[in-house]
Amino acid sequence: MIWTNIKLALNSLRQSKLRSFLTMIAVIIGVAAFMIVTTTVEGLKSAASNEINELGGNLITVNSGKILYKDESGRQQFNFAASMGASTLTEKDLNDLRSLDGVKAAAPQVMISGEVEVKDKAFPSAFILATNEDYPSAFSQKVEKGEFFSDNLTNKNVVVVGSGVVAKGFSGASPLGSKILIRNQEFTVLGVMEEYKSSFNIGADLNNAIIIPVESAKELTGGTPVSIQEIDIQLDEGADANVQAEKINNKLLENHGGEDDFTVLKQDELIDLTGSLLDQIKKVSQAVSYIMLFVGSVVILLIMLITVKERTREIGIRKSIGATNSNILTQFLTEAVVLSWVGSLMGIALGFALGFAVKAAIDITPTYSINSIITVVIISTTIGAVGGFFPALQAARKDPVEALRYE
Amino acid sequence: MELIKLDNISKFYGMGDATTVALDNLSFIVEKGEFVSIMGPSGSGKSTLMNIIGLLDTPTHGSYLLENKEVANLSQKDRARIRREKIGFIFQTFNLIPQLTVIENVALPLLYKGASYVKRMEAASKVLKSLDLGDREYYLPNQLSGGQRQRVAIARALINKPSLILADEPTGNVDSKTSENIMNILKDIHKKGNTILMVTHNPDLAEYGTRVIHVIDGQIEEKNRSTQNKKKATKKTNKKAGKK
Ligand SMILES: Nc1ncnc2c1ncn2[C@@H]1O[C@H](COP(=O)(O)OP(=O)(O)OP(=O)(O)O)[C@@H](O)[C@H]1O
Ligand SMILES: [Mg+2]
Repeated sequence: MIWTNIKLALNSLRQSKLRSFLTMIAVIIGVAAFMIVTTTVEGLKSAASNEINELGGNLITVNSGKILYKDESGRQQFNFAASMGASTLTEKDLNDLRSLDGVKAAAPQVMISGEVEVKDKAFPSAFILATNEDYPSAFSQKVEKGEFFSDNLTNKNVVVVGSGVVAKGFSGASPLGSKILIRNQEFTVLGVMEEYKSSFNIGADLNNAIIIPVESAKELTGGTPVSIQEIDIQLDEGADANVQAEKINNKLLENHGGEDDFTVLKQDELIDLTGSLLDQIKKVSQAVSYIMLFVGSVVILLIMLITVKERTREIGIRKSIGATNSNILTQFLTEAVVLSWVGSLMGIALGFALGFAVKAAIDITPTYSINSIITVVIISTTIGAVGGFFPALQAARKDPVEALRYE
Repeated sequence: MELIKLDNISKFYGMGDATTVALDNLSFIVEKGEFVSIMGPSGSGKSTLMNIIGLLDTPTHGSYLLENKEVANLSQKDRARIRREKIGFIFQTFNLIPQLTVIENVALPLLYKGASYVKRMEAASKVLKSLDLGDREYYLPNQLSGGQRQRVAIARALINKPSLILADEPTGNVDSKTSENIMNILKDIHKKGNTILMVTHNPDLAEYGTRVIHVIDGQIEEKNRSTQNKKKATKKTNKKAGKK
């Protein structure tokens, strides 16, 4: 019976292709949107965790402000506002953390604003990052050409640039020894960082970084103490991340007079955090596709109402030869669900096609999971059943004699 | 044995001043194995009577015993089951489902009975062959002539081997030659033991029945036919069948 109903539904779908297609459009778009959001965010998550892992296996970050808290369900939540206040991290904190046992390298991140000129031309896509000589080992990044500034060079006006700066600013030619103007001060290019491969970056593209020593940054900003947004710490090989994080936390508490105004994150927590951030983005975008799917359900309801009216006589005939009300209900409910399934199938196909487009455009490989397909199947069955129920009920309750008289 | 027993059946349509009395305290008994022709002017209540007997409609008042069982208190589901198992309908307008092929239309009652696909197709094919429609199984209804469509409808009515056939002007939409063909089919069915109720406006066709009743203003006027008449009718059909 079910199979016959499905065949019947496909049959009537085939008989009015255009109408069925128009009915399904909202479902198609809704499902495609759902697919693309879900799979792209999953793709972003794995790209993000790859990127974080690329930073070396034993990274700990210290951020200014209490940017994380646990919600009622114990999940880490992000407090954006807390990251925006004036920095609470000091140079003393940095130096103390550098000299802790088990710490291999500790590099500050100090963002400096200002104009950059490369070869007498403004270079607006660059950003200026002030740090210390620990930077390469803190981020497990190699210097491709020249060298990174070392302690004894700290005070000089030198700069290390990302590979993107070489490609765009120097047309790929070796920049070593060239001058770059930052806030109208001359800096000499000392080295070039290896290309940073990850396509996904939280914040800025590190390939466009203009990296200067902290001491030079102080001069640029008129001798005021610089504001350290973040300290990135690479631990010694084999050091226990939990123990070290605890030590770092205690040291900072001591420095800050017991004030818990900073955030220490281990690498796995960092991956979890980006994951949960992306999950929130996913939820918001999925909500948009749910609206589309709701519209789809309403369209199915309207079209099924029309279908039931048009096929009144058929309903009368079926009843006269012995169909029960529930036979009729099942028939039209199946038809609505099948309509929704076919629409979803097209939506999934469209979602795959868009997935290729996303990959071509922003180089994120969408991740398809059985879960997302199952979710789509459940959603589309629900849409069809919800949209089809009322019309099917109407069909089932038709009076057979009246229905047979219907012209 | 009394197959149908109607006792003081009334059917009203509408309410208040606009009330139409379609059946007016009508009583009527049909024995098993009868072939009853029902005649009467337009609007006299013939179709209403057929619909009530066929459990498609319910009377406003009165009692209806089918095989000695009161049907008034049956559930919707039971009424559907009885329609499916015991009653075969033949309508003036054929009432085939246009989207389904001939064989699918004929097999439909078996679907609601829960028969398997193979069984349904086999049975439908058999009935169609017996009605000379073996080569039309996969046609759509609108690819057939009126007479062929009515034969498909008869095949559908027969497929569940019902004990009661209700034919409401089965020849109303076909020419006289085809009418005769359909009447002969009904006669054959009757010979095999089925009870038939047939509405017709044609007195000649009414003669095929073993009894003719007239419905006038929602009430029955029975005319007992002489034995002579009956003989004549039988002769006539035999002649025609012989000519063919
Ligand atoms: N749904 C309805 N609503 C109101 N009146 C109805 C309805 N169905 C039938 N009637 C009325 O009931 C009366 C009997 O109708 P019915 O169809 O039984 O007549 P009939 O004898 O079959 O006529 P015909 O020979 O033209 O088919 C008519 O007066 C008709 O107008
Ligand atoms: Mg009538």
